[in-house]
Amino acid sequence: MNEENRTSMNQESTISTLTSTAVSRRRFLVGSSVAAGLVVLTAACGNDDEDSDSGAGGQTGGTTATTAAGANADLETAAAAAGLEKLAADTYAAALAAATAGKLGAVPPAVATFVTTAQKQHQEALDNWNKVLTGAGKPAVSVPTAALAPAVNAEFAKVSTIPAAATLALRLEDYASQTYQAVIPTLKSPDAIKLAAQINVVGSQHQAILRYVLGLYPVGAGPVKAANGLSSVDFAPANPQPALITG
Amino acid sequence: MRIDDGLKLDTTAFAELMEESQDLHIDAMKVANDSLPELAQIREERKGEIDTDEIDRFNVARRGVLARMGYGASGIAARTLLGGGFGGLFAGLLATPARADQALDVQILQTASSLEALAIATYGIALGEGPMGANAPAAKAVAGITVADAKATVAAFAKETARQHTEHKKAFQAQTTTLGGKVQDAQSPKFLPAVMSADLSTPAKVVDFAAVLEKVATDTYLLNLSLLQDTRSKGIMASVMAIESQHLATLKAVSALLGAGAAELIEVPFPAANIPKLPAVAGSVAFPNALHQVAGPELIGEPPSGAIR
Repeated sequence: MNEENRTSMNQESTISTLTSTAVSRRRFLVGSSVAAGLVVLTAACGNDDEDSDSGAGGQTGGTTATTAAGANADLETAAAAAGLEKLAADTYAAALAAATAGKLGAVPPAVATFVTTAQKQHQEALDNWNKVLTGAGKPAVSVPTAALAPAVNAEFAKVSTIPAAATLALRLEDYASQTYQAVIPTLKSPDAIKLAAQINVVGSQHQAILRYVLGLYPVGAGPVKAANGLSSVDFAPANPQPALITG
Repeated sequence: MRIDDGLKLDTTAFAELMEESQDLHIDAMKVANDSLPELAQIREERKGEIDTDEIDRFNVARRGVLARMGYGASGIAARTLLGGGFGGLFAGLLATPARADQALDVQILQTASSLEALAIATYGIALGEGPMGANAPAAKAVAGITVADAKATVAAFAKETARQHTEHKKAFQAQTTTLGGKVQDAQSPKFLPAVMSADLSTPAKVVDFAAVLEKVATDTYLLNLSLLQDTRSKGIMASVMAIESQHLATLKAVSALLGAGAAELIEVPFPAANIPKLPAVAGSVAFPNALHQVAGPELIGEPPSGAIR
């Protein structure tokens, strides 16, 4: 049995891992990571219109079946990632509109450039995920992550200054980056892995500039300082951590 | 931030900020440490196993790198920074298939360790801790930054970044050991010649060269994510990649500020009152593309390039 098949079988056991204590250490190693990533993204996306199961729980083995399961799981991740990118693009667009309307005070040139650039880049990220989806016969995502949008909207309603807008943007970038970190190891398609990584790099770099402008050390995650309990590894399955957005 | 004299810093404010950046390293190390027992089991399962599928996977991916990444604009720009003659080193490396007697994941981790070792040494040179000490051109260049806060910030960033690369190296080395491989502690033989021959006589050149090394690491790790078989190793690689990409972003921003004659805006913590003074380019220079573009193959640390032979 080659490594791919063994990994796929471990994916197969992911669900049972949650209830079985007899799972091998190896199955836990592979399976728990896959489960965590997909649950996080599925919950975050709120995209419950899929007409098929994840494929992870219903496989009975075999190369074709496991490959299809991996592809389906990748597509679920793609849809969830698209929802996050839509949320980010919309949030930056709203910030841009507020700034243009003078609701955030004077807008420094670098901030204007950043918001414009970040908005465009998240839109492009969304477009790329949608290409993956439509290329596989799935519908494109056109709505933001349902489970997260209310929290973002509520926080955005409080924003009245440039630093406040930058802080919210940083929280959102942090959430997205941590989500990508969680799911990248679970993706099967090299192209999907590459796309997720390419987007994650840019998102991490958005964070670096936001952190610098906000007076933080540029290398880090979110608008938080050490030892505050908001660690990037705190992705609980089925819990997209609204605290990353709300602070 | 204040300085007493020369490069001696009042690090009170900076220390707090450094703690923040250590968070992700702690996370990465936690992932690494948590995975060690499980990885040890995998090693036992795979002992003596030559996985031809794995070798095939690498060779297919290697060809993919050549075919798809090509010599893009970013690669050309990076080659310019690294100087002539260096690209030839890669041509041979890319012609080298993965060795069939060593797990690909181990090769990847060893090569990643070698890139980290090179970065550590390079930042050390800029800090005056290399063989030439304070007489190294890079050290002189950093010491010669005329704006006190900028000089202090660049020096402190170099020091912190070197420390972070040290942690990355430890994580990769730990994974290597757990997968049954030998620890790589030497600097990347592919890129070391570029460091030794680089013109690092000005602050801008030092910053730009450091940016190239960070991009090499970022790009290499990004590609590795599609090559690695071990899930935990992927997680660590992705985590480190994100940090290197932030190093890269910071260096690009600093380079832009130096280029704009605005060294006085290089300061951590950055004063809010100075935000309006930042040039517009500071808001976009660090991420020119929505999808991070990987450089040409000559700036990728292919798995065999830092593997122990």
